[in-house]
Amino acid sequence: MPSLEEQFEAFTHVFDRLKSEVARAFVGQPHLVEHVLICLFSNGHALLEGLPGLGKTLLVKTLSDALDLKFSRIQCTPDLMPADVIGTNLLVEDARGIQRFEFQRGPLFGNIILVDEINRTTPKTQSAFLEAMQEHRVTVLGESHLLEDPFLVLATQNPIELEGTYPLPEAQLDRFLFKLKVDYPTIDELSRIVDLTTAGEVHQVSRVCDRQTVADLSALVRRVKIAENVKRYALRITMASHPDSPEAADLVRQFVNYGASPRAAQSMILGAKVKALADGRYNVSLDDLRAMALPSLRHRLLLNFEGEVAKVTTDDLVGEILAKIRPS
Amino acid sequence: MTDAERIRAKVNQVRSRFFFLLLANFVAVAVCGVALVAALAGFRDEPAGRPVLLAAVAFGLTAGLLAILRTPSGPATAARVDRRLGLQQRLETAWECLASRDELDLLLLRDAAQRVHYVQTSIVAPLRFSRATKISVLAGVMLVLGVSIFRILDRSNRWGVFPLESSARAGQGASPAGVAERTTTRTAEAPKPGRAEFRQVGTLDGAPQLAGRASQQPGTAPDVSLLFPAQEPPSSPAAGKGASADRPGDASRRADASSRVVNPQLDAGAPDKRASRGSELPVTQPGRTPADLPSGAASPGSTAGAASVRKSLQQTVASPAGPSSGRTGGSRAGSAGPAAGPAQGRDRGSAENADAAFIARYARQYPAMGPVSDAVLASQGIPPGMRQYIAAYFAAIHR
Repeated sequence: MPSLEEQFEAFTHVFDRLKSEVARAFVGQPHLVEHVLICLFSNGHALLEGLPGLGKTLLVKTLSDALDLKFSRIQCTPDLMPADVIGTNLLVEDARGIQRFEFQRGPLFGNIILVDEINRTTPKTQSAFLEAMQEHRVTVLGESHLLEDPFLVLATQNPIELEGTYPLPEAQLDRFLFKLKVDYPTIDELSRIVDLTTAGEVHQVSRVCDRQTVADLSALVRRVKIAENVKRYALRITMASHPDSPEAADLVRQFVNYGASPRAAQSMILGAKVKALADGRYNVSLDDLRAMALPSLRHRLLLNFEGEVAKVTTDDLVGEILAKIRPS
Repeated sequence: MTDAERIRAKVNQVRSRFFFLLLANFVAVAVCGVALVAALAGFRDEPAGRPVLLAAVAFGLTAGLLAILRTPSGPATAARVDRRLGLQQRLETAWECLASRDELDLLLLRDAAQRVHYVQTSIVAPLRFSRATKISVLAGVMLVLGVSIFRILDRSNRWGVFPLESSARAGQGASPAGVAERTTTRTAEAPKPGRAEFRQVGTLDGAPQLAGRASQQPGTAPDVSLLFPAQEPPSSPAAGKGASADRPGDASRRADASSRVVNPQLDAGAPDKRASRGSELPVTQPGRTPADLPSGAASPGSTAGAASVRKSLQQTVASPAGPSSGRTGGSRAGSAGPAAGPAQGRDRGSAENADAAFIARYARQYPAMGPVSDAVLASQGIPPGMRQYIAAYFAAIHR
């Protein structure tokens, strides 16, 4: 049994190696990769928002290869039904001719689930993900089925072509630990992408760790210390997202209808703990919290009508909150 | 020494430095405050030493108290060290785990202790004054300089803001012409509230009084009146001509001076603006004219005049109806004509005899003035800022 210090060192080592392995196939956007890994070790889920063709699917696939985890992909369409996602009971007949119902697992039973264009499926199907994401289990006809850990849902949605889509309800958005934006690559990154995909080079991603290691390291995350003052800073940031809060920024008062839920504080602190471990620290710092504030809060702020009309983004609001709230 | 002890020692060391830095900041402000009090003490009629001492004690205690109260606590100090050294809240977190024996906490303590072990407190808390301190000190220095410069500019008390003894001293050392000029300035300028134009008038009870606008204000003139038997301190000739009245062998001019205004311009035929006001001045014993004054009292502002007035007042007390009792104020009463009265004739004689007699009278009378001056200085009715001037006046008499 390795000592605690060795486990912490192993975490840092695994985290760095995962980043470098993913970077071999997925060019650029190191912050996106880091945040996805943070979601993985936090046992959270991420909503990736970006235009088509930016490598979202490649990122998830590369990650599952590096971790030697079971990867599933669900392409959401308006006619996708919950049973298509969760699974269903099928009538099967055994060798003796006895017929019985047997639960046929859906694609949700995996370790890393890519839910592509989640906003194109109906709310009924979207809600099928709720229990799985929160409880790590599904219930079919009164029977619960546990999902294997690690269980990471990476959902994507397209910010354009919103006709015929079903925007995710707030309750479901709140289930996601982070909302990550996939940006366009820079010209240098694009050059490398072109080289990788048109020159016939094949980069095999090495396996960094197995499923059990990921589970152990995820458990280690929760032991990271956070000082009381640092924790209060995270709570103040969360509270400042509410328009009726005394510490709310002016933009928040003007354009926010509802602020972030307590899950935002949980996400921020949990993500900050992973980041601290990845940086080789045993404690959470204020910088960790600031780095986690944007992905934790941006999908948890509900704009009012004025905000929608003024085209204020939640990123602006989070930036305003961070500028206003100073550690005590 | 364990990691926890090393961390605690380092944090306490930094705390002590924070305390002394705060103390230095507050003491700097306190010194400015004391200097300001010392500069402003000139406005008061008390000796400057006591308020300055009190201010120094009060400011010092306040500075010490504020430094104690504002010294950061242990966790706050650890947080400051973290911020200063970029320790990513290692020390702050470790401070909360000082008593813990958890494996992770021990790791945390070791990590923090290694990072702060070689840190110098001067790096964490460099000696510098805060912005608020700098602004306060600058404002204090400017105020002190402003007050000091104003006092220097107003040594002649032209604006009457400072009842400085410097004014009295300047009057003593100045030439008669200068004093006359100053007197002219003072008497010619418009009277201000609370300021008295000091003129002597006789009283029935034998005490000289001041007449003037300020004397009509309740509670001001009656006290001050005891102090100014003449228009100017006796050590300084009130006016060029008034001073000459004391010269030996010039008794006739002395008699004339009793009715003369101290402004030399008036002697030169300039119109006396005050003459028109003379009728307004209270003369406590109607019927007395400047001509009734003894020759020594005829020179307002001269020592001889002051003594003569007192002597005449004594005589008044002895025989209230005596024709020789001096009642001054004639110089303001507009009686510019010949003022020789019956008393003048008695004092005419040789100048030497007159002076010798005056000195003898003054020497006899002065001891009685001591309690009078004390009583006056203890009076509550003296206008603000006048007490020091009065004290200087008595000192001048004494000299």
